[in-house]
Amino acid sequence: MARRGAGGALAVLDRDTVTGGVAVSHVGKTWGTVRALSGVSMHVTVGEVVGLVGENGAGKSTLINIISGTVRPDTGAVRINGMHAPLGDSRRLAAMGVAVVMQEQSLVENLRVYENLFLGAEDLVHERLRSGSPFGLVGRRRRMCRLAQELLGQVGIEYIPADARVGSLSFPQRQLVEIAKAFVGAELRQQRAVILLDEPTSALSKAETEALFSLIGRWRDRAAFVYVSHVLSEVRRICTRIVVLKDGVVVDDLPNEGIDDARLHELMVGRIRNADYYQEAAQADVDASAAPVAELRAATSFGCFSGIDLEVRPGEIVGLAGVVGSGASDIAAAIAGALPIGDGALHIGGQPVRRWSIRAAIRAGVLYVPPERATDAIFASASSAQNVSIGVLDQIRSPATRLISLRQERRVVDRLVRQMRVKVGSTRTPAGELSGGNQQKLVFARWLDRSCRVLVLDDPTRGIDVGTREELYTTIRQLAASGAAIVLRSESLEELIGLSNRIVVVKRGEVSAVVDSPPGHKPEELDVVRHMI
Amino acid sequence: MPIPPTDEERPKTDVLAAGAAASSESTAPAGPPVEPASPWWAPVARNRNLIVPIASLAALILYFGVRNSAFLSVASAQNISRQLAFISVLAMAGTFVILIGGIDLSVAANATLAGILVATWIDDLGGPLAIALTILMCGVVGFVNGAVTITFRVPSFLVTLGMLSVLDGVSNTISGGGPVSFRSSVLSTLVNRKAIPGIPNGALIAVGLTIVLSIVAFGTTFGRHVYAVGGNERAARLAGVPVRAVRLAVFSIAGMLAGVAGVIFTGQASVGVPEGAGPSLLNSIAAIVVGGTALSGGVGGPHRTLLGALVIVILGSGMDITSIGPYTQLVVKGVVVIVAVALTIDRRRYGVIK
Repeated sequence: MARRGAGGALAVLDRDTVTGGVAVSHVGKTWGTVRALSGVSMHVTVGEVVGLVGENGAGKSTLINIISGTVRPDTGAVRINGMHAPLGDSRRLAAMGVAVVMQEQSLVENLRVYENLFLGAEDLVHERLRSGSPFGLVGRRRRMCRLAQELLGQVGIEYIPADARVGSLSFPQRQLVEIAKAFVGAELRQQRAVILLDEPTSALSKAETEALFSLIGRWRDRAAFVYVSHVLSEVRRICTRIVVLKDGVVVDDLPNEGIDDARLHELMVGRIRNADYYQEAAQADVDASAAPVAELRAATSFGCFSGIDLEVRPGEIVGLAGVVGSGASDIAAAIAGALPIGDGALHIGGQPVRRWSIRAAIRAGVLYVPPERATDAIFASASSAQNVSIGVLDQIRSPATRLISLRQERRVVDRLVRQMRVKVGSTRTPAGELSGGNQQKLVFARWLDRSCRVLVLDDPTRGIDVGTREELYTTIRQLAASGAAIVLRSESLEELIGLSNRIVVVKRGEVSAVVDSPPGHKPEELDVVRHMI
Repeated sequence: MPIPPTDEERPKTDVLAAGAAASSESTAPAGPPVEPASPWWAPVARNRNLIVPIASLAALILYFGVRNSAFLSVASAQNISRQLAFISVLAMAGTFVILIGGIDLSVAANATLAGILVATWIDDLGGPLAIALTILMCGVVGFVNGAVTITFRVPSFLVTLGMLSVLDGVSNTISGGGPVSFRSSVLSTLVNRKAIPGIPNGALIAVGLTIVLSIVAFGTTFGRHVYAVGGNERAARLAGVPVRAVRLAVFSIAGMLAGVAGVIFTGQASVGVPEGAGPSLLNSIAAIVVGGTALSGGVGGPHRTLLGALVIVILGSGMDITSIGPYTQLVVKGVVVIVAVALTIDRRRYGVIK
């Protein structure tokens, strides 16, 4: 294969290059009439970890996709390890040492870990095995597996068995394998790697995030890192330099010294983030003697959580904190009727519920915003209007014919869309064409017209830009003020602390602590984290 | 098992998200919603599922009309409306199943069974009862399709493929493998008489059913639930849609509509034939996809299917009139189905095309 020959030659050249890395110069990309990027230049040398931050739609993903070759820029050039990069050719870029770890995973679930690690680089592995043994490729699989285990060890995740099926691993474990794959690819090619991490920690627990960070630290001298994340505290911790994108333009490129979240924030959104971000002033003091609207009593769901007691009162926001897999998300789902409760009971409005289901919950005024927008909540090919009206179909029927009144539907949808400030030209636009933030607003709008007694929010601001978050916080505060009881599970501790009246910490399926979070006396993140791990 | 999107798929979704976000961010947050800037051809691209069938309909009429003026005669129009009656009702049967993201391959065999049943029963039971019982039986067949699909979590194309064979066997057993004749003229009157001069009743039934089913699709909670299940089953469940009930109902309705199609067919032929409706399966699926109902589910509808059926019938009848051989016709129709699927399917839904 000609391609392999070229790759080999590149590898030799690269070893001669002292400092490798990636340099992007004057890159521009337009989708239709929308400018995603214009004149973007940045460089990352080996030894650097460059944080790429910006609001949703600022162009981060487009830039990452251009470097990894899945998107071809209209203008500009990319150099990898000092050599001209073939734009829009992801396979050749991968052979030059560019590896990308995405939010969505690209592992093949029914292959084993080692097969995934070597996917696309089998020839290199074979070469290595052949040269290391007098018997050529005899016992190839076993030796590939051993090699993989060795490499996993070097990457610091030796506890993941190399011969396990990827499908049998947990989501965070798979994420780690994916990251390991990027490192292994570089190691096999003996190259200076360019590793693009796009929201790599979105599904990782604190401990796993730490493992990832130590990995990055260990590999710093052999790779150039680009780190995209919404979690500014992580960016500030791990990165040597921070590039801020706004509306497709680099607005700042600053060394990571003495910057705080507020300053980054200001650069990203172009305004100062004030102390009222979580609108703590609007947080109501809840009378502890009031009767809870929703109450779990020794609730158990096999394999998810056990013996959970939880009370939520009208106007109260109760936060559920816990690492991935702790059961916090499952508790939220169980209250919403999406997960059956085995033992124990759920009381709504003081009455124990029987035959609890999503439908029963909606009828009782318990509404759910699920965690994964794309798979759990949005009908991508349906119009924005239909994505909203699905929640109020029973309220837009004409009394005479019992049929859905299209005029009534349009009126209700228009009002709800305005109320949530969804930015969409026409409500006929398919929801899949909207940004994540606007999609989430559609999901909120869906429930806004129902009398809501309990609102269950599971990671409502995942992957959503700061400006939209603020608007969603306003909505959440308003709903609480109107007397709804809110159960909030979030990946972001800062958000949990900022919004909640009380935080229930869940660890291995059980409540490990309850932390009060009154306005003005918010707990530190450490006070909560301590009980999570 | 959800399939992760392939590399080729990622930029597309990102593009859409990034594009929409970028365009919306340019507006003031508190300002009124502003139409996102989009290329002039965007509405055309978005509505291609409607524009393509209408354009091909016009092209076909023009082409065949020029080739042979007999195509534009009254006799030809009546022939077309006769065929349209059967094909469009049969295609209606499949439409809702495809809308929920499944497929019913047994509709034509179910219609054949209906033809045999009604022919067998009509002289003894009388017209109304025989027709009602037939349609009910076909509904039961559809219900079984749905129940098996749900209970054993088997893909609907496999269940209905098996059912196709079962129904074929049953039809031939009941009829003894030959045509079933009957004396009653009720069916023929019902289907062939022209209540409105020039238009056989069968075509009126088809158009009437299209209107009713379109109202069901857009004006009822059930119809909206069908689109939701087809669009994103998980999201539908979490939004409170009774997914299993919707699936069962859709398959049952498909069975009943197949029954109606079979009754129309037998009325037109005045005899029950065990292989009568069999070859129409491809035609009915062609009508659905040509009309713009996507095999991926959630997009399209009964009104589209009537349009698609018109295209398919005119294509067939035009090829007959211009003396294109039956084997060539098979090739053409097969190609049309594949092209139509390629044009309508929503690739965002499939990471890997198998």
